[in-house]
Amino acid sequence: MKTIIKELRKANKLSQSELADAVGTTRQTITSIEVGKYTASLVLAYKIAHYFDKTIEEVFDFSNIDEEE
Amino acid sequence: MEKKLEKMRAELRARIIQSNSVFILFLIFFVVDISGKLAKYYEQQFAADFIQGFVIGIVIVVELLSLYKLVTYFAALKDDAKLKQLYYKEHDERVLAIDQIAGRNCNKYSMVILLFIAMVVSPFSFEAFIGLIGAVVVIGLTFKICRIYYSRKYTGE
Repeated sequence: MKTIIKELRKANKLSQSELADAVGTTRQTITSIEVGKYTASLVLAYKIAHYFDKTIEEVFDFSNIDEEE
Repeated sequence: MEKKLEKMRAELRARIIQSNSVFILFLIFFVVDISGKLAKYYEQQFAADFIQGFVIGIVIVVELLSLYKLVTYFAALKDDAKLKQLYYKEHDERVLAIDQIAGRNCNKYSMVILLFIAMVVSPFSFEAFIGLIGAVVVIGLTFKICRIYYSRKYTGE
């Protein structure tokens, strides 16, 4: 699933570790979400979106959701 | 978050006691093994020597792992930042999802591989064949029991 997390992180001058720490996960999970290898759970997606003061739909791209596994 | 960290601290204290117990237990096992008391139960000297070496190897690995865990846990209890990192690492949803998928597939593959090895071994050793079939049954039963338990736990009906 595509996301704009990387762009939001760079705009806020945040490292992956800092974002991971802020939302309660590991740097490796943030990396995996950013490159689209892992789809965050509802709770984690909410925490990430909320951290950047955005909605889940603004951060995560659901347009191809039916084609995903 | 503070509640979760407090729970984590309590869990780490329990784990420290467990790791200490394992460390001592395997140390006792090591002492019994090198004293030669186990060797007399084996008819063949080769088997006795092999088992003695195997036990020594296992003990070394377990003791080193226990020590490593103890050091990690004590460090986490002293430093809140390390405690948080350990909490995130152990409760990371991606890792849990990977463990879930790996565990399910590991189960299937293990049973098939063990059955195959049992067939190959059967002409040479009936005891080994029975042991391997027993292992397949244990894996299958354990999986089924866990499945029933967790289905009941997470089903709302």
